[in-house]
Amino acid sequence: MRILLVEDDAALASILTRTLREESYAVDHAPDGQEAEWLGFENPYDLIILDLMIPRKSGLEVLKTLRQGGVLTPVLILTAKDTKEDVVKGLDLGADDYLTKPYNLDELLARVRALIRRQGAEVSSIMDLGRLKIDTARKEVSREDVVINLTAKEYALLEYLARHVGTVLSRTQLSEHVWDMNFEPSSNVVDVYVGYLRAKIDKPFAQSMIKTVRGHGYMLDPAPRLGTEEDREAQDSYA
Amino acid sequence: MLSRIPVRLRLSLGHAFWMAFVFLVMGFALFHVVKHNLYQSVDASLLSSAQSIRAARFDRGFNSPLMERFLHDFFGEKPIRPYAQLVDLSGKIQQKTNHQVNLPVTRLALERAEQGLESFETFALKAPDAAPLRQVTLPIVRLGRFTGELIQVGASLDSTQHTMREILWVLWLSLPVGLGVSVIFGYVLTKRSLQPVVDMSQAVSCLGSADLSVRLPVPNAKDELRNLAETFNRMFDRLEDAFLRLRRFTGDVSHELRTPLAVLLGEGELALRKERSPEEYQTALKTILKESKHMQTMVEDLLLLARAESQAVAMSWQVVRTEAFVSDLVQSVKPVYSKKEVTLDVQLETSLKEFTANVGFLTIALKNILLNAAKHSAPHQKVNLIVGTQGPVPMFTILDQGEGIARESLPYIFDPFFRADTARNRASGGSGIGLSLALALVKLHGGTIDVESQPGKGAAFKVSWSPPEDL
Repeated sequence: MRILLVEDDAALASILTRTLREESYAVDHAPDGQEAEWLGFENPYDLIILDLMIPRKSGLEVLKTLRQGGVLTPVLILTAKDTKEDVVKGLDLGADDYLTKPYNLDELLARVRALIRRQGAEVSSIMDLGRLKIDTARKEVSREDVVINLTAKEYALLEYLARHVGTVLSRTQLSEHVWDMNFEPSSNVVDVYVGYLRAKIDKPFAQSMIKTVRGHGYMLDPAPRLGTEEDREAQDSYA
Repeated sequence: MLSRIPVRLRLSLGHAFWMAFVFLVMGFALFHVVKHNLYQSVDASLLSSAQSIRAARFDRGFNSPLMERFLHDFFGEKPIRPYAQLVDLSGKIQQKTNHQVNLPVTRLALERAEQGLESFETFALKAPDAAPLRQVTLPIVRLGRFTGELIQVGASLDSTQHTMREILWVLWLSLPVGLGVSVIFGYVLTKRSLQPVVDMSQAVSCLGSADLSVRLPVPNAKDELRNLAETFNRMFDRLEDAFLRLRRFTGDVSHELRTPLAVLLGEGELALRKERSPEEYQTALKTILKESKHMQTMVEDLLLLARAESQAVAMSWQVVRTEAFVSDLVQSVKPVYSKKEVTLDVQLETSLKEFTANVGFLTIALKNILLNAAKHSAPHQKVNLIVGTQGPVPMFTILDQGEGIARESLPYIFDPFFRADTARNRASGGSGIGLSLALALVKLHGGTIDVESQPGKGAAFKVSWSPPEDL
């Protein structure tokens, strides 16, 4: 999941960036309204965290321009003001949620998860894909009740694949949503990380869930063929 | 009691009361003028008929058709016929027209007759519904002497009384009608004249904290209502300005205080989320320390500002040697200036060898203005500090070549936490209340800070004060 963080205060931005990266989000930081707008149009973010009091262009202006330009990414507003005037304006302009500074990091992360979840059809923070279970709050992954330890990037890749389960995702799509703007497009980083993930998710088990679709990309298959009786049953019930 | 009646009603009732008074006075006067005139005209008829009889020496023919016709011509048809008679001093009638009236000759008439003067008298008759009689008594004078004979001519006052009664009727009728009409018109008129006031109060009640930009429509006529509307509008201007300042201040102050708090909390929470390396803990603690120091500066400045603005600080005056003071001041801002690569150029005018001020407060004030000048200067620009006098008082002028102050920002630059650019980059340093503090401290000296600025060409801050003479 890739997040655009718009915050002018360097110290605060640094904390948020580090926190979000620790939670395996890819984070781009914009220190002012102009850059926020440019980045917002340039990259397909899964969430925008927007401080309202930013230089050059106010947060509300950025929000308005992005929404008018057809960017429908969920927006979480940050404000330091007591008055709810700006919050109301922001929500009316198309923001999805807000937080008042100073905020609790856990609450911020919970709201981030909720906003990202809302885009799909999920109802809770635990994604249940039959054999594979992902707890998005604790960043825990288990397959057939075996807990699997993943690095932040591996987890982010898996979560993105899981959110689009059954859909073929191109390398560009994966890089755009799992990596931040420092990603080197000509590299084979995506393939490398898919390799790492396979080693942990698929190798110890009988079936491989991560499929390569030649010429297109990768896909997470929740009920892979070629398996035991149990697999067939699961497949039938899936169908 | 009167104050409980609505003003509309009070005005129209007061109006009506005075109208009634005027009606009554005018009616009374009119009635008496008419009455007087009517009596005079009756008296004139009586006198001229009596004089005609006397001149014609109507000695024989009082009781004749000719006399009847003569009187009829004078007085017209009456219920009691007019009469004429010739009486002597004892009151005995010697000749008379054909009538039954028999009145005594009064003492007054006799006295006046002896002087050769006529007299007029009114007699009420005993018969019911009969109008009083008016009678003239004219002495017959021959060769300048009263002969002892009197000509009396009388006529009924019925038509006079009839006219009087009619006038009275008209007056009594017109009084309540006129009064009623004037009350109604007065009420409508006051209501109409007060309508703009009602409109205004409605417009005023619509004004709230949410929207202070509404203004009352100003009527075209230059009257009290226009005056009222303009006064109200000016008050709204001041209210709006004060309200906007307050709102901006609360917004700014919460931003300025909450941002470092958010950093403190966030850094702490982040550090404790999981086991970290000693370096990471150190970085976190350094950030926390830096933010805490920043908050400390801000809180101290705010406290000093509050105390200075409420004049709750002890103000003491010292005689200061200009050279030493300026050199200390320059030393205190030097680190910031060299870091930003801004040159500070000092000009000391010889006219100011020493001056009287509170050294501590003046240093803080001038330092804040100098730091502000540095903050708004680009690298390699120059800031001038000119120390001199203006007339008898010391004056410090600080000139920068920075971006200047926009005209619309000029009234607000001394407001706490005001920043001309919405950029609130705390990296630029300062607590955000430097200039407010400077102004408060200069005001403690009884002085002023004048600001001149051309956008794009820098700004000039002129600090001057007059030290008290009784030191």
